Amino acid sequence: MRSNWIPIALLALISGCTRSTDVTEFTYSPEVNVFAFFILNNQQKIIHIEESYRVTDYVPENRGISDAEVMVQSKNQQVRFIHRVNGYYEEEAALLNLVEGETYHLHIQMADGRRVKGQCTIPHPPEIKTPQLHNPVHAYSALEIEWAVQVPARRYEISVRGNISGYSAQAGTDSLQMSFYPFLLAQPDIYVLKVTALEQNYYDYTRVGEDHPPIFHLEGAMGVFGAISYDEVIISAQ
Amino acid sequence: MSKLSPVGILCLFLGVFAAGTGFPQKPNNSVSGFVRDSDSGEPLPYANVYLQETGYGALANVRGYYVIPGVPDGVYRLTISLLGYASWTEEIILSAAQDLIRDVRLQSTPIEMGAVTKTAERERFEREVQVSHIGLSLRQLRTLPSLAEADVFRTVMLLPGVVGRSDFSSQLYVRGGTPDQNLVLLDCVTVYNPFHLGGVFSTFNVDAIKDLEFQSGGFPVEHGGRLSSVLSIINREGNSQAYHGSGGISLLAARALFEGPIPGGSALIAVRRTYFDQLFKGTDYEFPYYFYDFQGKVNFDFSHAHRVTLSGFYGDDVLDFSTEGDEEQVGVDLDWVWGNRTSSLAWRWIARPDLFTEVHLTRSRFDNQLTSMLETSGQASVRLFNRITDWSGKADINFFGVKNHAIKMGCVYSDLDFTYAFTLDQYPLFDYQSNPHLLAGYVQDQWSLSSSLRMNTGLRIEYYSAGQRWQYSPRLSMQYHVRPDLALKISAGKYFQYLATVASEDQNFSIMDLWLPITSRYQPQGADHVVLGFEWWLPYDLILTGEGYYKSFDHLLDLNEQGSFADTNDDFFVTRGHARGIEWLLKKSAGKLQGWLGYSYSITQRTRHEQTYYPKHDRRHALYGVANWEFSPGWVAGAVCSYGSGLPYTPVPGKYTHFEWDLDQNVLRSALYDRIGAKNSARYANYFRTDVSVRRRGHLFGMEATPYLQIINLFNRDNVFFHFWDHDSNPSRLTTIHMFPFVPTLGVDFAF
Repeated sequence: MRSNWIPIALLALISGCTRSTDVTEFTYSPEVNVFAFFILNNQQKIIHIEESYRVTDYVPENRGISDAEVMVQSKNQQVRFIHRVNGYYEEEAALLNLVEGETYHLHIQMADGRRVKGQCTIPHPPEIKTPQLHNPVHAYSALEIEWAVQVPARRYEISVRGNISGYSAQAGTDSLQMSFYPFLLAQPDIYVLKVTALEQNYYDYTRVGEDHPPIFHLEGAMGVFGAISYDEVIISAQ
Repeated sequence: MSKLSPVGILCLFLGVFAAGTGFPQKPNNSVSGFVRDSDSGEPLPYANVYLQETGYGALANVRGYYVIPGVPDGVYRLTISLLGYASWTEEIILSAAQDLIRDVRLQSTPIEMGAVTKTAERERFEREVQVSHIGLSLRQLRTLPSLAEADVFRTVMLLPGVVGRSDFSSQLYVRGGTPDQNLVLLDCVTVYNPFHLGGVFSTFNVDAIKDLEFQSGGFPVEHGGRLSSVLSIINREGNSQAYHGSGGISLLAARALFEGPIPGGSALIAVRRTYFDQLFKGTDYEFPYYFYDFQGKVNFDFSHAHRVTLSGFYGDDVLDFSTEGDEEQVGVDLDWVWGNRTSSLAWRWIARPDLFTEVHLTRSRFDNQLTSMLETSGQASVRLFNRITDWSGKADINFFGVKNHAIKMGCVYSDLDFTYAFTLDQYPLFDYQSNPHLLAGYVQDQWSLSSSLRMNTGLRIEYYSAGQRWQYSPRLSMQYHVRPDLALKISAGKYFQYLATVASEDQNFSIMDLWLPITSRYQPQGADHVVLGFEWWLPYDLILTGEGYYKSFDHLLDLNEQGSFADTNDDFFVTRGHARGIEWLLKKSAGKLQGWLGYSYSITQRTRHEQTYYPKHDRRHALYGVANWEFSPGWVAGAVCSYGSGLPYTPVPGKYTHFEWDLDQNVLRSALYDRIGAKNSARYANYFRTDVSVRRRGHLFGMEATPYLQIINLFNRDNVFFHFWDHDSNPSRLTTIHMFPFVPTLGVDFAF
């Protein structure tokens, strides 16, 4: 009887000490990764194109794609973007005019024939109503903020930054007003209060979380074609 | 019926009583009473009670109560037997519709091999319909190797059909279900968060436990409100004969139990506290956390027919620490307390020998309060509070007056109160309150159609106030004895659940479950069970069971971690799914060598937004070997061997540069992010762990003392908890977090 246990014990010992590989091998084909981002207030346009990587790949310092054909189209304009440096593209000649509420179409043709399409609508800029300029607010208490807008955006991000203390905080909301509780930790100072409107594409892009697939609104690529607009005021906290 | 009035509820309870006492009484004799242990006075469940050389007999219930109804006039030899106890026999004379009461105390004896007495388990097999049901003995709970403290949940996790996702959590995934689908009852009171230390330990002190039953599916209509399983723990009543104490000291905790007689009854108290917060105070390893729990039970026997029992469980986890703040880091002073409080007032009334009634008034409360001071340039207090309060009234009537029928009926009313509050200083950031009610009534009949065929049919009707929903749960179980030692079993039924935990199935770890009532926006979660199997009693007290099951789920809620805070419509994903599998169990629960070998093959799938995937607890193969062996007088060795095929995870085949505009600094920032693959489409390496223990019973300072040594993960196997890619190094590096390494622990149990 005893001899019957020996092979079982040995088997248990061997399987107990065996280490199997932790990760299954995967095949992954790199995708086009586009970051196209417009800021209404300063008419800033950022278009960057690169590829994603296999997780085990070495990522080079300069990794942009330089030979793509990039075109942005609106109701009244069609502007070609050309490569400047390290995957960043800028208008070739005529400047693209960003208009609130207007929809823009992005077309990218890669050198290998792959095509990318996307569209985005510039959000209407918020107008901060409360707190008002020159009206001091209370430090160490929640800051009541209200803003008005012609057409509400998908999301608003509120941020403050202290001039002397360097204290900064940020919070988001779907509404047009907010009790900004992080201001409970704000000491007397001069602050820049900023309310930024995010349109749907950019908001979804920023919601990427662990183990949750990000939501991209692009055809033929990962990434985003998004836009923001903002309003900011200087406030004094006492 | 928009709201249930107290009068309506009272009428319902009275109606159930009236229905119970109105059962027909036959003009025959009956014999009834309680079977107890002669040394402790504790009831002995499932003793075999019979009149020799007749077909009359009964099985004592979990309270030790038996009744043999409908006995004709005559002279009989009443015999009561149970393995481990000397049989008791008395000649009785019955005449003139007599209700003879015989309370019997059995004397424990060493087990004699070849004796004709049977184990309680065998008695139940022969007389009841039990599908997917397993009872665990105290010896099995106490002698299996564990991390410092014997643990109910860790032992249940070794049964076929039960999956544990990691060494760091005792949460049970039963036949494809999630942990919130398990009904955990302590003395008939629902316990909402039965864990300490974020799930590493269960809240139940094994010293106080008398009986533990686990049903992994097909459970009868007396239980409701959960989809997957029932774990019922009955605490001991306390020694009614003499004062006793016991306790233990381990590397983690110290515990003590005292019990003894009181006028008219018995009492028991058990306490436990961890002390590593004290041991490592002032050192680099200081961990300002501890938990304690207290359990008590008092019984008063006013007469043979009336008993009142008060019981309670009180336990807290406490985490208290502070960190200094600086210009970049917020200073924190944290005080976090969470714990369960359960109380139960039970009245047992034997209205007639064939009418066994129990009424429970219970309260179960879970509190979680986190208070923190945040300090940078200013100071603010943060308070996070949630509370679940469950006030329930429950009445159960067992009627044994109809030959070949065991009828059980009852009702339960639960008033549930949920509070979630989050305040920053005096500002309420979040304040949620909900107060739904749940009313349920059930009736079931175990009908012995012949000596070999038994059928248990039942119907449970539930009313849930949120959404004003009525749900009907018919359930059926059958057991057919092909031979006296071999039975075929089948069970099917519908199940509903009205509460869910705020949890994502993707999370690897949760400190506690946050329960929420299902609002009128969502359908109650539902499941259908079908179980088919057999139970075969082999020589040498070996039991072989095999079961196949299919379980479908509908309207399951899974937390949407990316949901918008302001949008209540996207808080949860509604999923459906199914689980199917086969389970084998070879068990030996008597003799010097006890234990089991279990194997399960299961497939669990969920479907969300028409995408079907395997949830993170989908373990395809699980194999367990559990043994405890009294190899020499006073010496007991224990071993647990667990093997499980890899659990699913979402792979990261790629990575990409994620850009984000810094709204505050007006600069573009970028970082490498995971490019994840299909949900849960890869699997971790197989799990394997071997634990061993040895115990030696002896005497120390005049007390019975049992020192023990336990080793967790004897072979120091690197079992994967989870892994992630560190993109800070180039190329990215895989970092793996492992589960428990080789951990030896020791301790001593004592009794006086």
